[in-house]
Amino acid sequence: MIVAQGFFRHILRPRTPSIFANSSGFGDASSAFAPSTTVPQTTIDVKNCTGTLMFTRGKRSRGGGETQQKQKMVNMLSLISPRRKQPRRIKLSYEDLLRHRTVHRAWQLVVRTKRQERRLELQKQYFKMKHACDELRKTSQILYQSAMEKPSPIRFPMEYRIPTVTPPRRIWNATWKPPAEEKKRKTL
Amino acid sequence: MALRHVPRPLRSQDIRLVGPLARPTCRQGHRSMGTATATAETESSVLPSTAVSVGDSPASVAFKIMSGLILCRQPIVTPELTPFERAYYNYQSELQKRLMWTFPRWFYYPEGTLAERQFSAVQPVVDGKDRAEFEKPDIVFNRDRRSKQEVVLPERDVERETEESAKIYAKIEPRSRITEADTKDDFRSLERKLDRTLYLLVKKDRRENAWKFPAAEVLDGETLTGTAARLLLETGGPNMNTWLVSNTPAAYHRYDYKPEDNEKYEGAKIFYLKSRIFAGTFIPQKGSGIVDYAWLTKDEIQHYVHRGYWASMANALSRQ
Repeated sequence: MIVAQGFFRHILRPRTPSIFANSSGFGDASSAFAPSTTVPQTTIDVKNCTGTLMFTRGKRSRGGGETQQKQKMVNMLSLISPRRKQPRRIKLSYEDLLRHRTVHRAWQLVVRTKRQERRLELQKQYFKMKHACDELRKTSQILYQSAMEKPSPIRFPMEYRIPTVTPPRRIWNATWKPPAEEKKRKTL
Repeated sequence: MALRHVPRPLRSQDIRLVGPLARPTCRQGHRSMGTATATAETESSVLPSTAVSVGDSPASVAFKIMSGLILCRQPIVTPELTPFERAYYNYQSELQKRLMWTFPRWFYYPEGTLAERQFSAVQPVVDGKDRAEFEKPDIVFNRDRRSKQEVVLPERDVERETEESAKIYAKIEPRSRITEADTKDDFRSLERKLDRTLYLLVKKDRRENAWKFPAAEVLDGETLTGTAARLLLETGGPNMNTWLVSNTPAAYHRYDYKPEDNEKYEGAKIFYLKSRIFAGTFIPQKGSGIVDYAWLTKDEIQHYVHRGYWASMANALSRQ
């Protein structure tokens, strides 16, 4: 948003001059930006506007095409700026901080437990698979070799579905039938 | 005391048992070679597996090789949240609402429009007096900066509504996660327990150990995959959209026959392949020997199946 830096400071100033330098307290994003040294080519030069024309957010300009366009741009850019939209910084008391930390640590514990359980389950599945393959190798070499063939790359079917929070309208297609096989093309 | 993990030393009797391998009684091509190695392995546990696994020494068939199928229906719905998870997610969303920027009403409801007038009329009064604090209220753009903002959307203006705007207001009614099959406990339904993986279990006409995963003998010239595909058609019919996860077996189970039951084989070795069903129904086919079937979760399978079988299969299944 290099275009916006010098632009914001000039454009998004309130109409009435305020006594306080930073009326929004914490998080005045426009002042947080470093002043730009380069002049971008697509800035709108407001200084050339005649009279007391000033652009403020949310207004509709009665002027011609150019000023209307500029006003629209101001409106759009004001959405990205946190100016006067950011709420107060959360300041927790000591007890509140303790509560927050406890909740966070409890959550971390839950997540860690889940991760460990999943890891253990996968490990068990893997060793089960390995044992099966070892037994197959002992039993039959040919079956083992055919079992070791892997498609490269692995292809997943189109019907593969990720679980959602709530089920679809038709939960299960019970009346699925395999598609009719295409007739073989006659060779010329 | 004999150390069980250390193989006992090789004796002359053990070497004699290897004898039948020298004189092949080849009945069925390559497959008998496979089972022969199994024979040698079972009779003398001393021989290292590498010597046996060469697989080129045929002998009398002792173990029936079977290919089994672990057919499962993946969860359709996300896992159930625990009360703590629910509370934590609620806490996080409240924090986010508190830290959210003020709603830019001048953009969505421009000044001077009818929509803006309707919007402003519906918004709650924000004067900062609901918070008992010593600081003076900090209200910017009709939002108290010390707390989260409540934005009330105006009701539908039915008079001015067009077809397109009516679509926007169309209510999304989420379906229930608990289905009819859940309430009726229909174990044959695939719409039961949407948040869990369901595995197919079939019941054979047997007094004991009837419930099992489907399995079939690997015939001459067939691979495990080929047998599994044939098994699926023979037991459940063609109306199932399935996908084999891999050619590699996921589980292995071996059981010994009683000597009076089967003269040809000493037992069976089943190699299970994992497969997933995406659509269709399992319909028990005539001549498959299947009396009943059920789609069960992992913990339910434990109660249907006998202990030795459960010990073999449990680790290959997924808990969720």
